[in-house]
Amino acid sequence: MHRKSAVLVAGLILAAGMGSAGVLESFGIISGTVDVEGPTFYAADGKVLQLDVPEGDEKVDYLGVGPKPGDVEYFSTRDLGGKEWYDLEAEMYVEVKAQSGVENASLNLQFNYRDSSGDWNGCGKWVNFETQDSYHTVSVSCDLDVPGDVEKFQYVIEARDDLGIQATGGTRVEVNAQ
Amino acid sequence: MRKIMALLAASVLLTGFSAAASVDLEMVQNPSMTAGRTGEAVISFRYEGDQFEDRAFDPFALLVSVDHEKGNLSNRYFDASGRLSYSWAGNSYSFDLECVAGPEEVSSMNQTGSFYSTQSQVVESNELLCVPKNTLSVLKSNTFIEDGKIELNFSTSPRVAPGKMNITYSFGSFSGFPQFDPLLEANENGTVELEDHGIRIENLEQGTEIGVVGYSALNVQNPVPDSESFSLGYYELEPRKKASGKVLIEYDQQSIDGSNRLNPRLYRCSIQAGNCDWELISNQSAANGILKAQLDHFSLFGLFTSKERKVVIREETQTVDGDGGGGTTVVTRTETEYVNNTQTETEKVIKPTASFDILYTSPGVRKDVRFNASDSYDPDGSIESYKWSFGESGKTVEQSFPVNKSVNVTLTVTDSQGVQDSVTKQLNSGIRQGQETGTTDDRGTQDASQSITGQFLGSTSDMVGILALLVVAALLILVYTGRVNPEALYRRAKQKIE
Repeated sequence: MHRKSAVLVAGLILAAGMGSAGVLESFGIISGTVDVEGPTFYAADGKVLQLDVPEGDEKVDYLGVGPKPGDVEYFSTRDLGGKEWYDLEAEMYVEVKAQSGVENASLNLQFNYRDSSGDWNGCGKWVNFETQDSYHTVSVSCDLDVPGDVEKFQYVIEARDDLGIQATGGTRVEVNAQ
Repeated sequence: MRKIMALLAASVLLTGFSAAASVDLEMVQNPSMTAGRTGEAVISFRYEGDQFEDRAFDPFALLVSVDHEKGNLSNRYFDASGRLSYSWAGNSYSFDLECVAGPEEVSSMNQTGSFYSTQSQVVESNELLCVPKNTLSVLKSNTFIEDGKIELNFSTSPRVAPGKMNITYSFGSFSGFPQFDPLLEANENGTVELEDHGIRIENLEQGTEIGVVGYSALNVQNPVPDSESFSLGYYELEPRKKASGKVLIEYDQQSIDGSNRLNPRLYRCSIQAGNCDWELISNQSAANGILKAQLDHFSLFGLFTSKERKVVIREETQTVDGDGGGGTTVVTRTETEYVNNTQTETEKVIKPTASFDILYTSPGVRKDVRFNASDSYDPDGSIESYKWSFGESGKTVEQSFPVNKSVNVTLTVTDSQGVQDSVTKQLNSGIRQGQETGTTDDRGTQDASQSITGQFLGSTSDMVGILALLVVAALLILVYTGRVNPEALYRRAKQKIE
């Protein structure tokens, strides 16, 4: 008896509620959280900056940075379609080692974007570090406001010393939010 | 007993929907997506008809709302599309979902018994309303969906920064909210991949009744067909569209529901000042089961969007205060043609003010200068970007210039409404170090303090001039103190010359 009464009460309450429900008001709501992660662009063979970790034949040991002071390597993404981007913090990494006994070296790491008018804008820093015989990772970061559409990203590595860098996943740019 | 308590809880919950229906459900899986990659997240809602037997659930609309932990997100930066599919009366149906971005007013007509009313809702600028495309929903109380699924492809633009994004999906149905409390689950192995984001909706309890609101939405797409057979009973008309000519709408009831379907009702939409004035023109079925109506402007009742309601025919921008300086009010007048009338909307935007300070940071062979635009402001919003004439961006930038050359530097700021202001200053040719606050800009405004602090180094010719001045000053002091007699000096000099 108690069970039947409860079912009846429930049914009545439900009927009353639904009878007065409107069309657009009668929505059930599902909510959830989505984690949006910043992309990582990897330097790869062919002077490409790509979203996937280079593997297999894409490994490149020496990209020819140095020995002439001011040697520069440019890695560029494909055309990104001119979309707006968030103001970003570029965390730049480079896998580097000394080529000919250089003990202390410096690198200029720069992250640029080309806007829809063809202008390049970017941020970067020189970093001094102790070189080693084996590859190790050096990193810097900088903030970059992106007020316009982005056509391409570009990772620029400039060296004043005789260095080698490799593009097997360690030479990359993590694009975080400011 | 637990089932009864759950039923009671569900009933009380649903009763609350009469004002603003909502029920918060748990999303089991927190998916992730990568900024800059689109089309990654596929959100899928699946429901199984045999779990709620003969209860009607007609999920005709899905409202998608998004917020980001770094602030509200505009629907300029996200999009969705999808597909609704379900079985009904032994047949399978599948429809593309079309999502409309706000701000937009969405109207619907609702039937409660024999009473009809119109409702409207504004889709906000951070929302999308997804409705089946080309469909007319015709469910009623004793029909039921056997199985159904909504797949929604959600994508964001790279403007969405990394962080947590809250997505809310609101279901709507002419049949009211489904008579169950859905429980969302991940797919069977407990993990949800981005490409297989399965969420199952299960009924919590069975055996409850639901008050069903009749049917449905309407539709005729562009181009308007001369004649169309409604075998599925779904069709779309975008109301308030300027339609001309006559359209024959023909319903074959037998192919929709052979037994006890209600007669279709046809409504004409007479547009009055941009709003629909609904008029029932026919609810009679012909003897052969075919209802025909001939209409100039046509509509059935149902949910629709008004995205083609207006056409902007003229847009003018006028600067009111006209001096080109900051704080100027820019008035944009938009003349819009609706179906039956024309309206003018006026938007006033106050220009931002560009301003910057100059700091000479290092003297020497190069003139290194730091520019600080922190004094720039926007009275009715915020400044979104700072652009410098030498190609840099940012509120504070540094740049090197050749010495002994006059250089004009222009700062252009853009506010959140896209309005710009610029100011130009000339860099001095001398080499200085320190803060220069006495610079005159192109607006003729000048800093009152006129102070320049720091070192003055000067050139060689400057130094000769200074030494000459010092010699003259020393002579004057000697004359003044009586240590030197100018007349005696003159006589002595004259004698030497002679």
